Amino acid sequence: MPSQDAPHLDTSPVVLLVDDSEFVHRLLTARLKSESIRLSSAFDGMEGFEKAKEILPSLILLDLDMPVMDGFEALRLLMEEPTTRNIPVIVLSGNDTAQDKVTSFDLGAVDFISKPFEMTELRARLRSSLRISSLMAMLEQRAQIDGLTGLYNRAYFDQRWAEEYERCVRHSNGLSIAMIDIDHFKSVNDKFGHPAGDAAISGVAQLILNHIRKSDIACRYGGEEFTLILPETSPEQAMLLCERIRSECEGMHWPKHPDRRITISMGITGCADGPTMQSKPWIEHADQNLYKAKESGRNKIVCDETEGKLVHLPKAG
Amino acid sequence: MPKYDQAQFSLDVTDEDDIELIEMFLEELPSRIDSLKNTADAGDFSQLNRLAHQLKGAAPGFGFDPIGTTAAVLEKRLKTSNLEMVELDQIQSEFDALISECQSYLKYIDS
Repeated sequence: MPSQDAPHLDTSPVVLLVDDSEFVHRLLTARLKSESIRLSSAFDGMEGFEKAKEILPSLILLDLDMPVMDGFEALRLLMEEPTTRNIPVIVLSGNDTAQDKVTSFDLGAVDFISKPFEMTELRARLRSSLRISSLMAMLEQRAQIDGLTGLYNRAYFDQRWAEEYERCVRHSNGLSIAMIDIDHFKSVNDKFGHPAGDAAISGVAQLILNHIRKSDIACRYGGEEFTLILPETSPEQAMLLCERIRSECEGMHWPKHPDRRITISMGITGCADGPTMQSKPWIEHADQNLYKAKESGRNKIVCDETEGKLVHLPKAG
Repeated sequence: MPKYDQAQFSLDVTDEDDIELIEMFLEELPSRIDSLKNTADAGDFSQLNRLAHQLKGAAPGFGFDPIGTTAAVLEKRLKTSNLEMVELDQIQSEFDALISECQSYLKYIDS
């Protein structure tokens, strides 16, 4: 429940200013007070690059002429680093030469502002770059989201699974994956039409979202199939979570078709402390478990460890 | 009657925010002058070049256009010289112009 004294979350964009001159920091802090941004500071190229990786700002203002590491070198690093590559960079420079501008744009800067600053111009250019930044963020997010369900899409799943697998190997912690499929989906489509099929897919997606934790990643794998990546989750814990989803789905009431029940089958494979399986066979194995669940009558879960040992739900009571 | 002579400043000396910036810069001006002098005395011309470059970029934003202009002249003079070989007397007039421009503002600092 929202509380009156919940801390106010500042969602205004963070702008990282990288400049070796204390004056410039003071000047921009004072002159950008009225803009709805939060200004963060770094004083040389290296510090700027490290800080950008850490805080992932919406925009970077980057001076060229700095000690330790100059602006061009920092810009090069920012554009090579996957996490900072899409952050727009405005170059600030006291040398208003065509060559510096060309080099900046060629390295990937979105804009170039000469010092001393014309403040109204700087503010307008800043706002313009922030618009680009928010469009980039939107595009990036859209490219990861499945349109029908709002879950992550297959492309995101592939990338995220590879990351979570690496993390699991590195830290030898738990990781489980669940493959989920709607039972007899074809007959839903055939009997009630495609809109009903779509409603079933988005209904199950919503149900999954309602049950998973913040750290879990729910994806639409394709058609009527979903996957759940469950970081730091042993197969036993995954089994409990998935059983709640399975049983709730079974009991769910579908307003347009009150007599119809929709059930799901699931295949889970997981490990408690580091995998004994490569990442691709791991997914195939979970898929085989899903197949076994279907074979043994549907509306079921088959769960095992990456060693192959089957996991059962603890007996109630 | 404003405390600051508008003719000497490129910001609005009747605007509260502008005055805040002017005073921010004034506050550091004596130590700026000192470090310019010390750097020149020590013959560290690449550092002097850096200080001039910073003043060129920053001073106008704080309302001190004339300091920015004289700093730019000094920077340009240093840029066309070999920083390893330069002697103080070769840049003396540009250096003095910058120092005296800076000093012309010291009268606004309450002693």
